[in-house]
Amino acid sequence: MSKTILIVDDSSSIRQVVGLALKREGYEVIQAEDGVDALSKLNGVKIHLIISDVNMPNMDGITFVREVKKLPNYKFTPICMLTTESEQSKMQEGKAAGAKAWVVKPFQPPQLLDAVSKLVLP
Amino acid sequence: MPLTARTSKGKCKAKIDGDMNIYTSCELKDKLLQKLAKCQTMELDLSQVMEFDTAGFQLLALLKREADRNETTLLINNHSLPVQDVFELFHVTGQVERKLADCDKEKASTGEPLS
Amino acid sequence: MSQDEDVQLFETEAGELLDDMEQSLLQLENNPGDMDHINSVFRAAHTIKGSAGLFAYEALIGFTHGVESVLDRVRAGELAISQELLSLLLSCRDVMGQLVDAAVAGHDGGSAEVQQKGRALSAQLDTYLEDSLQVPEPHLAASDENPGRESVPADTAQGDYWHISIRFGHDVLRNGMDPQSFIRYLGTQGDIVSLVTLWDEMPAAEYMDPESCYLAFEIEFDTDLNKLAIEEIFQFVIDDCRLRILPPLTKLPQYQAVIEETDTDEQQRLGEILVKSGATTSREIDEALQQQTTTQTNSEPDEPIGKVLLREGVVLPEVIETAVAKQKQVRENQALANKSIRVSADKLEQLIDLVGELVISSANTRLLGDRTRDTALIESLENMSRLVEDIRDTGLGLRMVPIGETFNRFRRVVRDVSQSMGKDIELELSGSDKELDKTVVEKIGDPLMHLVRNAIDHGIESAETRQENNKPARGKLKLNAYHDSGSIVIEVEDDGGGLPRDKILDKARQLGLVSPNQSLSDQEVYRLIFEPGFSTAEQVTNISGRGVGMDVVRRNIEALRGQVDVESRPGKGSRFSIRLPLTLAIIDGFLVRVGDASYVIPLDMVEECVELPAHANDDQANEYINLRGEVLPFIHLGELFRETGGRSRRENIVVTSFAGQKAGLVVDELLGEYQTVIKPLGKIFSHLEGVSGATILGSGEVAMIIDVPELIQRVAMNGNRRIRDGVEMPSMLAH
Repeated sequence: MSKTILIVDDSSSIRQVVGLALKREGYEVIQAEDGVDALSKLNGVKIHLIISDVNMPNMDGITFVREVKKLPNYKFTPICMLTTESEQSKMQEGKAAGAKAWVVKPFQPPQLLDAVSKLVLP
Repeated sequence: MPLTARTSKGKCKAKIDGDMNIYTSCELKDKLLQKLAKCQTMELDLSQVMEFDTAGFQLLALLKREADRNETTLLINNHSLPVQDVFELFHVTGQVERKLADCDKEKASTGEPLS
Repeated sequence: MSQDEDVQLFETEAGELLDDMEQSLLQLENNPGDMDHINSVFRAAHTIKGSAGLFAYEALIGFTHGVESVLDRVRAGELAISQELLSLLLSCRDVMGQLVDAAVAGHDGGSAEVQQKGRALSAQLDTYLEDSLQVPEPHLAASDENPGRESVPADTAQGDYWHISIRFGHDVLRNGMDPQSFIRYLGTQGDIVSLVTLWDEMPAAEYMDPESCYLAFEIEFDTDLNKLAIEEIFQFVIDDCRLRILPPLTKLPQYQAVIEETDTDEQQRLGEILVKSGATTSREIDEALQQQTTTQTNSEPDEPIGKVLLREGVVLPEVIETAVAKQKQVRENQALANKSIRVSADKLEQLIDLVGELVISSANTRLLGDRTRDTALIESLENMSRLVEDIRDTGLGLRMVPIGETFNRFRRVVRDVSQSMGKDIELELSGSDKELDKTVVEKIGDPLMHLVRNAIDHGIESAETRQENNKPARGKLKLNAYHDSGSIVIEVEDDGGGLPRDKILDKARQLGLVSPNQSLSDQEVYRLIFEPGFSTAEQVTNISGRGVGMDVVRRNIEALRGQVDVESRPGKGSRFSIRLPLTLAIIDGFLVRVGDASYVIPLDMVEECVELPAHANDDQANEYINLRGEVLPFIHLGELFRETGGRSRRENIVVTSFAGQKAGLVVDELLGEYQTVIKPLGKIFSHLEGVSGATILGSGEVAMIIDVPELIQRVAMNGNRRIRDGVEMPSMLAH
């Protein structure tokens, strides 16, 4: 049974590239463009990994992580943040909120897939 | 509710249908321990386990330990593919129930590598 | 600091670095894998490039960049050191030197010739940069600074594996991290040879929280990842778990080797050394440091980090040992480096000058004090002059430098000259730590160069000739230095064919230096090569070379108040020894009166003083006395310098010796020991014979300093000639 990954990023190109790379690996991909949008997609669908940008309009990544941790059906979902080198403090915040994995932007799809393979059970 | 169990003459036949993971682990723990306490033999059918994560594995380990402690027989049967997978990964494959017990013994005899 | 001073500093620094670079390159010839030397060469290029940047010496920067890039690849183990590469780098080093000189002189880029040479070399360097298929030195493991695969042969396959011990934190599952995934991932990065799953920390059923993780794993792992890369596999859970990664035992020598070879230009902490070697990672060090502080507050204070790492099983004891040794070595080097301070030569010169004046003025004060007959004053002056003496010695010591630096320069000369002659010559240096005055060192370079070149050129035979004569094909050239009674003796010795006595004698007869029937000892014959005009003529002897005059060598050395001598054994080799005063600035003198004037005789050449026997003056021609059965020729200084004035009735002979020869100097009065600062005589007095300098006495009077070596030679020559001619044999020899 294939696994489902939610990718949250306000950049459609990142969603596109990441989504494509993940689909090629056999994952189901759900896209959301910000925290609010993402929360609305967490509506009972089984999600095995959330990949989320940090800086987003409406609801930023950190707030989104905190919200996810409140949802009984999603609170244990692994969350991987997409950060930049300059967002070290944000990253620490995210970790504290419960998003323990991260990939530093800019990244190549293989780097992301590497991280994904440590986060999603087969 | 993934667990179904039926006890007769001290023998409990239990079956898990669905996920055995962190989301279901609390509920499963309570139910399984309850059932185990009330029987001499428990047959646990894992053929319908879908997702099986480390929380699920720990639950089996706990169950096995409790069974040994209470001198109850625990037979784990028909592991589904996800379960087999984890058993293999954790090198506890084979006759799982015995193997689980062995691991406990092995640990006791070799001493703890980690304090 | 002004721009000029900056430039000067740059020049000095670059000069030193280039010297280091050359030395290390030469060392690499014998030891191609020596990381210390590779690093030293790299550092030289790197630093010069960096400093050149401050002055925008573009040509120098550009050229050095290419050199640095190649060296970087060598350092990374991607490029092996070969003879061709060494030769190329040596040439590059020379061009760098020329570019430095040009840049400092104000025309960055240098002459057209230098530029052309630079371009040619750069092109050659480029070939080393393009060719990425060079075979790396097997023991030069890829730098562990980059996480990734190490270029280590798979010697881990013989049952010796990494041991990973990981206990997951309780929260990992709640954080969405599943140990399974990490173990699975680990399996893709190598071979999990064995794995034991442990849940011994799982509490009793009622307390067991199914959302908490209680698992631990002991894993034998076969991989060619390095430690840091293995650690990175667990990076998402590393904050929430206890991870120990023990390297395979076979890694042990490798870590030790890397530690030995690690670049250590700064003081490094043990932890840093270990991390650099790949034996541990910075995370492990951080953890150990934390342990260190907690144990400090709890029990034993100040547990060393090495011990913590050991106790925690992070690093093997052998690795720690190596690292500790390395650390100690770094500290020692550091201490050594801290001990030296750069002072401009001018300032030092000024200080020495002042010390000189102080010595004179203190001598004067003592004389005045003596007259007062005030015991307390005299005693106090006594103390003061002792201190002044100490200041003088220390002051002069500041200018003393080891001869080793000069010696080292000859490695290159020997290498280049012998290679160009197709000879295989080994240079052996000893006594490199012997010190002498910097001004002497600077001036001795050229004469030494002549001697060394001559020895390679003509002293040491070709390999074929050597083998015919049952000598090892490889010639040997020795440079040696040692201290001998106030002098330093520098020897240049070769194991070549020795000086051709007959040829020298023939030549000397041709030149009229020796009369046809005159018989000379071997020693005397050999010394003839220092005669003016001797070797500048056609190539007759095997030391005449390209017109390199030994007389020039002698003149230069004598200008330093030194002397050169030669010994030779046919078929075995020859040895030139140069004897030099340790310093040119101040001497302990022996003050004497001759007529109305005062003279100073360097004390280190004074053997003793004896009264002139009354009858010795009877026959003016008979200038010998019997000194305890030895013939001692003497000379009247009063006559020599045509001093007038009261001749004392009781004359004294000051017995002087230099390089094994003795002569007596007849003086009118002995005034005692006297410290004196040498004031060199101006050029117009350079023709004066018998004096080497002047000094000012405390009274303000000028006193000449006697040139003992010259007088001895003169006396000995006269004596020899007379003896040889069979005339005037002193009757008392019969006694």
